[in-house]
Amino acid sequence: MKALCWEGVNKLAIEQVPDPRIQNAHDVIVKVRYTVTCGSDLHLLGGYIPAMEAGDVIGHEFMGEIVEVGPEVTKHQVGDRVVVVSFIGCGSCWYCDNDLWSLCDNTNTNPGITQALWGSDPGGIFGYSHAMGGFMGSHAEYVRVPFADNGAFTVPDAVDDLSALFASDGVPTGWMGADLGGVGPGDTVAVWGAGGVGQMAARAAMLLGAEQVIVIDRLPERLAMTASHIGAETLDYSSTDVGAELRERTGGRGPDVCIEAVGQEAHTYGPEYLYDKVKQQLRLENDRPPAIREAIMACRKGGSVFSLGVFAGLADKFPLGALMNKGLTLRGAQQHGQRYLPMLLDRMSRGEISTSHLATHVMSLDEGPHGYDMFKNKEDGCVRAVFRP
Amino acid sequence: MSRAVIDPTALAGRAIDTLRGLVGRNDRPAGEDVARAGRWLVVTVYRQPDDVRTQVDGSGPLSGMRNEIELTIRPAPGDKGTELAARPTAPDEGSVDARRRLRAALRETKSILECGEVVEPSRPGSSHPGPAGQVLRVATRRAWGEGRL
Repeated sequence: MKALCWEGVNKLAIEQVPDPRIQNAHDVIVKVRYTVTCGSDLHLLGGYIPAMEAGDVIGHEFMGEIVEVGPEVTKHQVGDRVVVVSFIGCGSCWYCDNDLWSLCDNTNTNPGITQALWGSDPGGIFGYSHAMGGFMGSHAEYVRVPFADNGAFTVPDAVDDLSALFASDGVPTGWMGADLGGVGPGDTVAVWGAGGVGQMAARAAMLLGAEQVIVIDRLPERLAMTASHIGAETLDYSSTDVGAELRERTGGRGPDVCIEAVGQEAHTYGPEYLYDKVKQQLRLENDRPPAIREAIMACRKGGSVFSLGVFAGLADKFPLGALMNKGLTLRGAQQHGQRYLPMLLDRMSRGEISTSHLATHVMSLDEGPHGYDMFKNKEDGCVRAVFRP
Repeated sequence: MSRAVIDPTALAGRAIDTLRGLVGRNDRPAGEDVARAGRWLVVTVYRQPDDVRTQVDGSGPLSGMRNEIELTIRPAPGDKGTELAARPTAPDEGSVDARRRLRAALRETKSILECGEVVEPSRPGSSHPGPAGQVLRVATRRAWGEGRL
Protein backbone atom coordinates (compact mmCIF):
# COMPACT_ATOMS: atom_id res chain seq x y z
CA MET A 1 0.00 0.00 0.00
CA LYS A 2 0.96 3.64 -0.26
CA ALA A 3 2.13 5.48 2.87
CA LEU A 4 3.79 8.71 3.97
CA CYS A 5 7.03 7.80 5.72
CA TRP A 6 9.57 9.58 7.91
CA GLU A 7 12.95 9.36 6.17
CA GLY A 8 15.08 11.46 8.50
CA VAL A 9 15.11 14.94 9.99
CA ASN A 10 12.82 17.13 7.85
CA LYS A 11 12.53 14.39 5.21
CA LEU A 12 9.27 12.72 4.24
CA ALA A 13 8.45 10.53 1.26
CA ILE A 14 5.61 8.53 -0.22
CA GLU A 15 6.52 4.85 -0.31
CA GLN A 16 5.08 1.43 -0.97
CA VAL A 17 4.99 -0.50 2.32
CA PRO A 18 3.47 -3.86 3.29
CA ASP A 19 -0.26 -3.85 4.06
CA PRO A 20 -1.03 -4.14 7.78
CA ARG A 21 -2.59 -7.37 8.98
CA ILE A 22 -4.42 -8.61 12.05
CA GLN A 23 -1.67 -9.43 14.57
CA ASN A 24 -3.65 -9.54 17.81
CA ALA A 25 -7.12 -10.86 18.50
CA HIS A 26 -8.49 -7.43 19.40
CA ASP A 27 -7.20 -5.72 16.21
CA VAL A 28 -9.16 -4.32 13.32
CA ILE A 29 -7.88 -3.00 10.00
CA VAL A 30 -9.21 0.41 8.98
CA LYS A 31 -9.24 1.73 5.43
CA VAL A 32 -8.30 5.35 6.00
CA ARG A 33 -10.63 7.98 4.54
CA TYR A 34 -9.00 11.04 6.07
CA THR A 35 -5.80 11.52 8.06
CA VAL A 36 -4.44 14.86 9.20
CA THR A 37 -1.23 16.60 10.22
CA CYS A 38 -0.84 17.45 13.89
CA GLY A 39 1.53 19.95 15.47
CA SER A 40 3.14 17.13 17.42
CA ASP A 41 4.19 15.52 14.11
CA LEU A 42 6.48 18.49 13.58
CA HIS A 43 8.51 17.36 16.59
CA LEU A 44 9.10 14.05 14.78
CA LEU A 45 10.10 15.87 11.62
CA GLY A 46 12.46 18.15 13.52
CA GLY A 47 14.22 15.20 15.13
CA TYR A 48 13.17 16.12 18.66
CA ILE A 49 11.44 12.79 19.35
CA PRO A 50 13.92 9.92 19.54
CA ALA A 51 13.50 6.36 18.29
CA MET A 52 12.32 6.91 14.71
CA GLU A 53 13.49 4.68 11.87
CA ALA A 54 13.71 5.74 8.25
CA GLY A 55 10.63 4.22 6.62
CA ASP A 56 8.31 4.57 9.63
CA VAL A 57 4.75 5.51 8.68
CA ILE A 58 3.68 8.63 10.57
CA GLY A 59 0.22 10.04 11.36
CA HIS A 60 -2.04 9.52 14.35
CA GLU A 61 -5.27 11.48 13.76
CA PHE A 62 -7.60 9.67 11.38
CA MET A 63 -10.96 8.16 10.51
CA GLY A 64 -12.10 5.53 8.04
CA GLU A 65 -13.97 2.30 7.47
CA ILE A 66 -13.34 -1.07 9.09
CA VAL A 67 -12.42 -3.69 6.51
CA GLU A 68 -11.24 -6.57 8.70
CA VAL A 69 -11.83 -7.57 12.35
CA GLY A 70 -9.89 -9.80 14.72
CA PRO A 71 -11.55 -12.80 16.41
CA GLU A 72 -12.00 -11.11 19.81
CA VAL A 73 -13.51 -7.88 18.50
CA THR A 74 -17.12 -7.63 19.68
CA LYS A 75 -18.29 -4.05 19.17
CA HIS A 76 -17.37 -3.54 15.54
CA GLN A 77 -17.86 -5.20 12.21
CA VAL A 78 -16.69 -4.77 8.66
CA GLY A 79 -18.19 -1.63 7.14
CA ASP A 80 -18.38 0.44 10.34
CA ARG A 81 -17.49 4.09 9.80
CA VAL A 82 -15.20 4.90 12.71
CA VAL A 83 -12.98 7.55 14.19
CA VAL A 84 -10.02 6.17 16.13
CA VAL A 85 -8.45 7.71 19.22
CA SER A 86 -4.73 8.39 18.70
CA PHE A 87 -3.68 6.68 21.92
CA ILE A 88 -4.17 2.94 22.25
CA GLY A 89 -5.75 1.67 25.47
CA CYS A 90 -6.20 -1.97 26.49
CA GLY A 91 -9.32 -1.15 28.51
CA SER A 92 -8.39 -3.61 31.26
CA CYS A 93 -5.52 -2.18 33.29
CA TRP A 94 -5.88 0.08 36.33
CA TYR A 95 -5.20 3.22 34.28
CA CYS A 96 -7.78 2.47 31.58
CA ASP A 97 -10.28 1.47 34.25
CA ASN A 98 -9.71 4.87 35.88
CA ASP A 99 -10.20 6.70 32.55
CA LEU A 100 -6.51 7.59 32.24
CA TRP A 101 -6.32 5.90 28.85
CA SER A 102 -3.12 7.40 27.49
CA LEU A 103 -1.31 5.93 30.50
CA CYS A 104 -2.31 2.36 29.59
CA ASP A 105 0.00 -0.23 31.12
CA ASN A 106 -0.22 -2.72 28.26
CA THR A 107 0.13 -0.95 24.92
CA ASN A 108 3.69 0.33 24.83
CA THR A 109 5.70 -2.53 23.35
CA ASN A 110 9.07 -0.90 24.18
CA PRO A 111 8.62 0.16 27.80
CA GLY A 112 12.34 0.20 28.57
CA ILE A 113 12.89 3.32 26.45
CA THR A 114 10.30 5.62 27.99
CA GLN A 115 10.91 4.27 31.47
CA ALA A 116 14.45 5.57 31.10
CA LEU A 117 13.29 8.94 29.85
CA TRP A 118 10.34 9.55 32.14
CA GLY A 119 10.43 6.97 34.93
CA SER A 120 7.34 5.16 33.59
CA ASP A 121 5.99 4.16 30.22
CA PRO A 122 2.80 5.75 28.87
CA GLY A 123 0.57 3.87 26.44
CA GLY A 124 1.20 3.36 22.75
CA ILE A 125 0.25 5.78 20.00
CA PHE A 126 -0.05 5.42 16.25
CA GLY A 127 2.86 6.64 14.16
CA TYR A 128 4.82 8.27 16.92
CA SER A 129 8.16 6.48 17.23
CA HIS A 130 9.29 3.16 18.61
CA ALA A 131 9.59 4.73 22.05
CA MET A 132 5.80 5.05 21.98
CA GLY A 133 5.07 1.51 20.92
CA GLY A 134 6.27 1.09 17.34
CA PHE A 135 2.82 1.22 15.74
CA MET A 136 2.69 2.26 12.10
CA GLY A 137 0.74 5.45 11.55
CA SER A 138 -2.35 6.55 9.70
CA HIS A 139 -0.88 8.45 6.75
CA ALA A 140 -1.48 5.34 4.68
CA GLU A 141 -4.22 3.52 2.84
CA TYR A 142 -4.77 1.11 5.73
CA VAL A 143 -3.89 1.05 9.42
CA ARG A 144 -4.00 -1.67 12.05
CA VAL A 145 -5.92 -0.65 15.19
CA PRO A 146 -5.15 -2.70 18.34
CA PHE A 147 -7.86 -2.94 21.03
CA ALA A 148 -10.37 -1.52 18.57
CA ASP A 149 -13.35 -2.14 20.84
CA ASN A 150 -11.95 0.58 23.08
CA GLY A 151 -10.37 3.03 20.65
CA ALA A 152 -12.56 2.97 17.54
CA PHE A 153 -15.90 4.80 17.76
CA THR A 154 -18.73 4.58 15.26
CA VAL A 155 -19.37 8.00 13.76
CA PRO A 156 -22.97 9.23 14.11
CA ASP A 157 -24.81 9.80 10.84
CA ALA A 158 -25.09 13.51 11.56
CA VAL A 159 -21.31 13.94 11.60
CA ASP A 160 -19.57 13.96 8.23
CA ASP A 161 -16.19 12.34 7.63
CA LEU A 162 -14.15 15.51 7.61
CA SER A 163 -15.66 16.75 10.86
CA ALA A 164 -15.30 13.36 12.52
CA LEU A 165 -11.61 13.27 11.66
CA PHE A 166 -10.76 15.78 14.38
CA ALA A 167 -12.51 13.70 17.03
CA SER A 168 -9.48 11.41 16.79
CA ASP A 169 -7.19 13.82 18.61
CA GLY A 170 -7.79 17.57 18.39
CA VAL A 171 -11.26 17.61 19.94
CA PRO A 172 -10.63 15.22 22.87
CA THR A 173 -7.22 16.71 23.58
CA GLY A 174 -8.69 20.19 23.79
CA TRP A 175 -11.58 18.98 25.89
CA MET A 176 -9.25 17.20 28.28
CA GLY A 177 -7.20 20.37 28.82
CA ALA A 178 -10.27 22.30 29.86
CA ASP A 179 -11.79 19.45 31.86
CA LEU A 180 -8.71 18.32 33.79
CA GLY A 181 -7.53 21.93 34.02
CA GLY A 182 -10.60 22.40 36.18
CA VAL A 183 -12.55 24.92 34.08
CA GLY A 184 -15.88 25.71 35.70
CA PRO A 185 -18.75 28.16 35.43
CA GLY A 186 -17.69 31.79 35.50
CA ASP A 187 -14.00 31.13 34.93
CA THR A 188 -11.65 33.14 32.80
CA VAL A 189 -9.52 30.85 30.64
CA ALA A 190 -6.46 31.72 28.58
CA VAL A 191 -5.27 29.36 25.86
CA TRP A 192 -1.79 29.60 24.34
CA GLY A 193 -1.91 28.53 20.69
CA ALA A 194 -4.71 29.02 18.14
CA GLY A 195 -4.06 25.81 16.23
CA GLY A 196 -6.58 23.00 16.10
CA VAL A 197 -6.04 21.82 19.67
CA GLY A 198 -6.01 25.36 21.10
CA GLN A 199 -9.26 26.20 19.35
CA MET A 200 -10.88 23.02 20.62
CA ALA A 201 -9.65 23.75 24.16
CA ALA A 202 -11.21 27.19 23.93
CA ARG A 203 -14.52 25.75 22.71
CA ALA A 204 -14.46 23.17 25.49
CA ALA A 205 -13.86 25.86 28.08
CA MET A 206 -16.94 27.72 26.82
CA LEU A 207 -19.08 24.59 26.93
CA LEU A 208 -17.88 23.91 30.47
CA GLY A 209 -19.17 27.31 31.52
CA ALA A 210 -16.21 29.68 31.25
CA GLU A 211 -17.36 33.29 31.11
CA GLN A 212 -14.34 34.65 29.28
CA VAL A 213 -11.97 32.74 26.99
CA ILE A 214 -8.88 34.38 25.49
CA VAL A 215 -6.74 32.66 22.85
CA ILE A 216 -3.15 33.80 22.26
CA ASP A 217 -1.23 33.46 18.99
CA ARG A 218 0.57 35.64 16.45
CA LEU A 219 -0.85 34.38 13.14
CA PRO A 220 -3.66 36.69 12.00
CA GLU A 221 -5.53 34.02 10.07
CA ARG A 222 -5.63 31.70 13.07
CA LEU A 223 -6.71 34.48 15.40
CA ALA A 224 -9.43 35.47 12.94
CA MET A 225 -10.57 31.86 12.66
CA THR A 226 -10.69 31.55 16.45
CA ALA A 227 -12.79 34.68 16.75
CA SER A 228 -15.21 33.74 13.99
CA HIS A 229 -15.59 29.96 14.47
CA ILE A 230 -15.03 29.59 18.21
CA GLY A 231 -16.23 32.96 19.44
CA ALA A 232 -13.31 33.48 21.81
CA GLU A 233 -11.43 36.70 22.45
CA THR A 234 -8.01 36.79 20.84
CA LEU A 235 -4.66 38.25 21.72
CA ASP A 236 -1.78 38.77 19.28
CA TYR A 237 1.44 38.26 21.18
CA SER A 238 3.50 39.87 18.43
CA SER A 239 2.01 43.25 19.21
CA THR A 240 1.45 43.33 22.94
CA ASP A 241 2.74 42.28 26.36
CA VAL A 242 0.69 39.15 27.01
CA GLY A 243 1.02 39.22 30.79
CA ALA A 244 0.00 42.87 31.03
CA GLU A 245 -2.86 42.42 28.57
CA LEU A 246 -4.23 39.44 30.45
CA ARG A 247 -4.04 41.35 33.73
CA GLU A 248 -5.90 44.24 32.20
CA ARG A 249 -8.61 42.03 30.72
CA THR A 250 -9.11 40.14 33.98
CA GLY A 251 -9.36 42.99 36.44
CA GLY A 252 -5.78 42.55 37.60
CA ARG A 253 -6.29 38.94 38.70
CA GLY A 254 -5.00 36.83 35.82
CA PRO A 255 -6.81 33.89 34.23
CA ASP A 256 -8.24 31.20 36.52
CA VAL A 257 -7.12 28.46 34.14
CA CYS A 258 -4.24 28.64 31.64
CA ILE A 259 -4.00 26.02 28.91
CA GLU A 260 -0.77 25.62 26.98
CA ALA A 261 -1.47 24.15 23.53
CA VAL A 262 1.87 24.77 21.85
CA GLY A 263 4.52 22.27 22.97
CA GLN A 264 8.23 21.85 22.71
CA GLU A 265 8.89 24.12 19.73
CA ALA A 266 7.14 27.20 21.03
CA HIS A 267 7.92 30.54 19.45
CA THR A 268 8.41 33.87 21.17
CA TYR A 269 10.24 37.11 20.56
CA GLY A 270 13.46 38.50 21.98
CA PRO A 271 16.53 36.97 23.59
CA GLU A 272 14.53 34.26 25.36
CA TYR A 273 13.73 32.67 22.01
CA LEU A 274 17.34 32.75 20.85
CA TYR A 275 18.47 31.28 24.17
CA ASP A 276 16.05 28.37 23.99
CA LYS A 277 16.65 27.74 20.31
CA VAL A 278 20.41 27.51 20.74
CA LYS A 279 20.10 25.24 23.78
CA GLN A 280 17.65 22.99 21.96
CA GLN A 281 19.79 22.73 18.84
CA LEU A 282 22.80 21.84 21.00
CA ARG A 283 20.62 19.26 22.78
CA LEU A 284 21.25 21.01 26.10
CA GLU A 285 17.48 21.05 26.57
CA ASN A 286 14.83 19.06 24.72
CA ASP A 287 12.02 21.53 24.96
CA ARG A 288 11.54 25.21 24.23
CA PRO A 289 8.98 26.23 26.84
CA PRO A 290 8.27 30.00 26.52
CA ALA A 291 4.50 29.50 26.32
CA ILE A 292 4.25 27.49 29.49
CA ARG A 293 6.62 29.88 31.26
CA GLU A 294 4.29 32.69 30.28
CA ALA A 295 1.21 30.73 31.34
CA ILE A 296 2.64 30.15 34.80
CA MET A 297 3.55 33.81 35.20
CA ALA A 298 0.16 35.01 33.94
CA CYS A 299 -2.06 32.64 35.91
CA ARG A 300 -3.91 34.06 38.89
CA LYS A 301 -2.85 33.04 42.39
CA GLY A 302 -4.20 29.60 43.21
CA GLY A 303 -5.09 28.99 39.57
CA SER A 304 -4.46 26.04 37.31
CA VAL A 305 -2.09 25.50 34.39
CA PHE A 306 -2.55 22.60 31.99
CA SER A 307 0.15 21.43 29.58
CA LEU A 308 -1.51 20.09 26.42
CA GLY A 309 1.37 20.72 24.04
CA VAL A 310 3.77 17.80 23.64
CA PHE A 311 7.06 17.96 25.51
CA ALA A 312 9.75 15.30 25.37
CA GLY A 313 12.25 15.79 28.14
CA LEU A 314 13.96 18.62 29.96
CA ALA A 315 13.15 22.33 29.81
CA ASP A 316 15.33 25.15 31.06
CA LYS A 317 14.43 28.25 33.10
CA PHE A 318 11.22 26.76 34.37
CA PRO A 319 9.53 29.20 36.81
CA LEU A 320 9.18 26.80 39.71
CA GLY A 321 9.26 29.69 42.18
CA ALA A 322 6.18 31.25 40.64
CA LEU A 323 4.44 27.89 40.55
CA MET A 324 5.08 27.22 44.21
CA ASN A 325 4.64 30.68 45.69
CA LYS A 326 1.46 31.42 43.73
CA GLY A 327 -0.02 28.12 44.82
CA LEU A 328 -0.68 26.94 41.29
CA THR A 329 -1.80 23.51 40.16
CA LEU A 330 0.19 22.25 37.18
CA ARG A 331 -1.09 19.28 35.27
CA GLY A 332 -0.49 17.72 31.89
CA ALA A 333 -1.40 14.63 29.90
CA GLN A 334 -1.55 13.05 26.53
CA GLN A 335 -5.17 12.67 25.57
CA HIS A 336 -7.56 10.26 27.29
CA GLY A 337 -9.83 10.25 24.24
CA GLN A 338 -11.73 7.07 25.09
CA ARG A 339 -13.03 8.87 28.19
CA TYR A 340 -14.65 11.64 26.18
CA LEU A 341 -15.46 10.39 22.68
CA PRO A 342 -19.08 9.22 23.18
CA MET A 343 -19.98 12.56 24.76
CA LEU A 344 -17.99 14.56 22.21
CA LEU A 345 -19.45 12.80 19.18
CA ASP A 346 -22.88 13.46 20.63
CA ARG A 347 -22.06 17.15 21.02
CA MET A 348 -20.66 17.24 17.49
CA SER A 349 -23.81 15.69 16.08
CA ARG A 350 -25.84 18.39 17.88
CA GLY A 351 -23.66 21.10 16.39
CA GLU A 352 -22.14 22.24 19.68
CA ILE A 353 -18.61 21.59 18.42
CA SER A 354 -17.66 22.24 14.81
CA THR A 355 -14.32 21.23 13.37
CA SER A 356 -14.40 21.20 9.58
CA HIS A 357 -13.05 24.76 9.38
CA LEU A 358 -9.73 23.39 10.70
CA ALA A 359 -9.25 21.45 7.45
CA THR A 360 -7.87 24.41 5.54
CA HIS A 361 -6.06 22.25 2.98
CA VAL A 362 -7.42 18.90 1.81
CA MET A 363 -5.22 16.98 -0.63
CA SER A 364 -4.23 13.53 -1.78
CA LEU A 365 -1.78 11.45 0.22
CA ASP A 366 0.68 11.82 -2.65
CA GLU A 367 0.91 15.49 -1.76
CA GLY A 368 1.80 14.63 1.85
CA PRO A 369 5.35 16.02 1.85
CA HIS A 370 4.09 19.28 0.36
CA GLY A 371 1.25 19.35 2.88
CA TYR A 372 3.69 19.07 5.76
CA ASP A 373 5.81 21.87 4.27
CA MET A 374 2.78 24.10 4.18
CA PHE A 375 1.75 23.10 7.69
CA LYS A 376 5.19 23.55 9.18
CA ASN A 377 5.80 26.92 7.58
CA LYS A 378 2.19 28.08 8.09
CA GLU A 379 1.95 28.87 4.38
CA ASP A 380 -1.28 29.97 2.76
CA GLY A 381 -3.04 30.15 6.11
CA CYS A 382 -2.61 26.43 6.68
CA VAL A 383 -4.07 25.32 10.02
CA ARG A 384 -4.24 21.62 9.20
CA ALA A 385 -3.35 19.70 6.04
CA VAL A 386 -5.72 16.76 5.55
CA PHE A 387 -4.82 13.80 3.35
CA ARG A 388 -7.13 11.48 1.41
CA PRO A 389 -5.26 8.18 0.87
CA MET B 1 12.67 12.92 48.12
CA SER B 2 14.36 10.70 45.60
CA ARG B 3 17.46 12.22 44.03
CA ALA B 4 16.54 10.55 40.76
CA VAL B 5 13.31 12.51 40.63
CA ILE B 6 14.78 15.96 41.14
CA ASP B 7 18.21 15.88 39.58
CA PRO B 8 18.47 16.28 35.79
CA THR B 9 21.95 14.81 35.83
CA ALA B 10 20.54 11.70 37.43
CA LEU B 11 17.89 11.58 34.71
CA ALA B 12 20.52 11.91 32.02
CA GLY B 13 22.64 9.31 33.76
CA ARG B 14 19.75 6.92 33.87
CA ALA B 15 19.05 7.47 30.20
CA ILE B 16 22.67 6.80 29.30
CA ASP B 17 22.70 3.79 31.57
CA THR B 18 19.60 2.44 29.90
CA LEU B 19 20.99 3.14 26.44
CA ARG B 20 24.06 1.13 27.38
CA GLY B 21 21.84 -1.64 28.62
CA LEU B 22 19.69 -1.55 25.50
CA VAL B 23 22.40 -1.55 22.89
CA GLY B 24 25.73 -2.30 24.58
CA ARG B 25 27.45 -5.27 26.11
CA ASN B 26 26.67 -4.13 29.61
CA ASP B 27 27.18 -6.69 32.34
CA ARG B 28 24.22 -5.52 34.36
CA PRO B 29 20.69 -4.70 33.27
CA ALA B 30 19.82 -1.08 32.59
CA GLY B 31 18.56 0.89 35.54
CA GLU B 32 19.70 -1.63 38.12
CA ASP B 33 21.31 -0.61 41.34
CA VAL B 34 24.82 -2.02 41.71
CA ALA B 35 24.38 -2.37 45.44
CA ARG B 36 21.16 -4.34 45.01
CA ALA B 37 21.76 -6.61 42.04
CA GLY B 38 19.36 -9.12 43.55
CA ARG B 39 16.51 -6.68 43.81
CA TRP B 40 13.02 -8.13 43.40
CA LEU B 41 11.36 -7.37 40.08
CA VAL B 42 7.72 -6.47 40.68
CA VAL B 43 4.64 -5.77 38.58
CA THR B 44 1.20 -4.79 39.80
CA VAL B 45 -1.54 -6.75 38.10
CA TYR B 46 -5.05 -5.33 38.12
CA ARG B 47 -6.57 -8.64 39.11
CA GLN B 48 -7.34 -10.51 42.33
CA PRO B 49 -4.51 -12.49 44.00
CA ASP B 50 -6.22 -15.81 43.27
CA ASP B 51 -6.35 -15.01 39.55
CA VAL B 52 -2.67 -14.16 39.55
CA ARG B 53 -1.79 -17.31 41.50
CA THR B 54 -3.75 -19.47 39.07
CA GLN B 55 -1.95 -17.95 36.10
CA VAL B 56 1.48 -18.23 37.69
CA ASP B 57 0.86 -21.85 38.67
CA GLY B 58 -0.35 -22.70 35.17
CA SER B 59 1.43 -22.72 31.87
CA GLY B 60 1.98 -18.98 31.58
CA PRO B 61 5.12 -17.05 30.65
CA LEU B 62 6.76 -17.69 34.04
CA SER B 63 6.30 -21.47 33.90
CA GLY B 64 9.50 -22.09 31.97
CA MET B 65 11.64 -20.51 34.66
CA ARG B 66 9.91 -21.70 37.82
CA ASN B 67 13.01 -23.65 38.90
CA GLU B 68 15.23 -20.57 38.56
CA ILE B 69 13.16 -18.00 40.45
CA GLU B 70 11.30 -17.36 43.68
CA LEU B 71 7.93 -15.66 43.57
CA THR B 72 5.69 -13.77 45.95
CA ILE B 73 2.11 -12.70 45.45
CA ARG B 74 0.51 -10.10 47.70
CA PRO B 75 -2.47 -7.72 47.50
CA ALA B 76 -1.61 -4.23 46.31
CA PRO B 77 -2.72 -1.23 48.37
CA GLY B 78 -6.12 0.28 47.69
CA ASP B 79 -7.79 -0.85 44.51
CA LYS B 80 -4.61 -1.46 42.55
CA GLY B 81 -4.85 -5.26 42.33
CA THR B 82 -2.04 -7.69 43.12
CA GLU B 83 1.70 -7.31 43.36
CA LEU B 84 3.60 -10.10 41.64
CA ALA B 85 7.30 -10.19 42.55
CA ALA B 86 10.08 -12.47 41.33
CA ARG B 87 13.84 -12.79 41.50
CA PRO B 88 16.39 -15.37 40.37
CA THR B 89 17.49 -17.89 42.98
CA ALA B 90 20.97 -18.45 41.48
CA PRO B 91 23.84 -17.66 43.88
CA ASP B 92 24.92 -14.77 41.67
CA GLU B 93 21.28 -13.61 41.57
CA GLY B 94 20.99 -14.31 37.88
CA SER B 95 22.68 -13.34 34.67
CA VAL B 96 21.78 -10.21 32.76
CA ASP B 97 19.87 -12.31 30.27
CA ALA B 98 18.04 -14.16 33.02
CA ARG B 99 16.85 -10.92 34.58
CA ARG B 100 15.82 -9.58 31.16
CA ARG B 101 13.84 -12.75 30.50
CA LEU B 102 12.27 -12.46 33.93
CA ARG B 103 11.22 -8.85 33.34
CA ALA B 104 9.74 -9.84 30.01
CA ALA B 105 7.89 -12.80 31.54
CA LEU B 106 6.46 -10.63 34.32
CA ARG B 107 5.23 -8.07 31.79
CA GLU B 108 3.71 -10.81 29.64
CA THR B 109 2.00 -12.37 32.65
CA LYS B 110 0.49 -9.02 33.60
CA SER B 111 -0.68 -8.32 30.05
CA ILE B 112 -2.25 -11.76 29.61
CA LEU B 113 -4.01 -11.53 32.95
CA GLU B 114 -5.32 -8.02 32.29
CA CYS B 115 -6.23 -8.08 28.63
CA GLY B 116 -5.87 -11.65 27.44
CA GLU B 117 -2.92 -11.14 25.09
CA VAL B 118 0.35 -9.31 24.60
CA VAL B 119 0.00 -6.56 22.02
CA GLU B 120 2.62 -6.60 19.26
CA PRO B 121 4.27 -3.67 17.52
CA SER B 122 3.54 -3.36 13.80
CA ARG B 123 5.30 -6.05 11.82
CA PRO B 124 7.09 -5.68 9.56
CA GLY B 125 8.16 -2.27 10.78
CA SER B 126 10.19 0.00 8.58
CA SER B 127 11.29 -1.50 5.29
CA HIS B 128 14.66 0.31 5.30
CA PRO B 129 15.71 1.49 8.78
CA GLY B 130 19.19 2.71 7.84
CA PRO B 131 22.23 2.73 10.16
CA ALA B 132 20.58 4.67 12.99
CA GLY B 133 17.53 2.47 12.66
CA GLN B 134 19.66 -0.67 13.00
CA VAL B 135 20.94 0.63 16.35
CA LEU B 136 17.40 1.38 17.37
CA ARG B 137 16.37 -2.17 16.44
CA VAL B 138 18.94 -3.55 18.84
CA ALA B 139 17.40 -1.34 21.51
CA THR B 140 13.83 -2.31 20.76
CA ARG B 141 14.71 -6.02 20.72
CA ARG B 142 15.78 -5.61 24.34
CA ALA B 143 13.33 -2.94 25.47
CA TRP B 144 10.61 -5.38 26.54
CA GLY B 145 13.02 -6.88 29.03
CA GLU B 146 14.50 -3.57 30.19
CA GLY B 147 13.39 -0.69 32.32
CA ARG B 148 12.74 -0.14 35.97
CA LEU B 149 10.97 -3.26 37.09
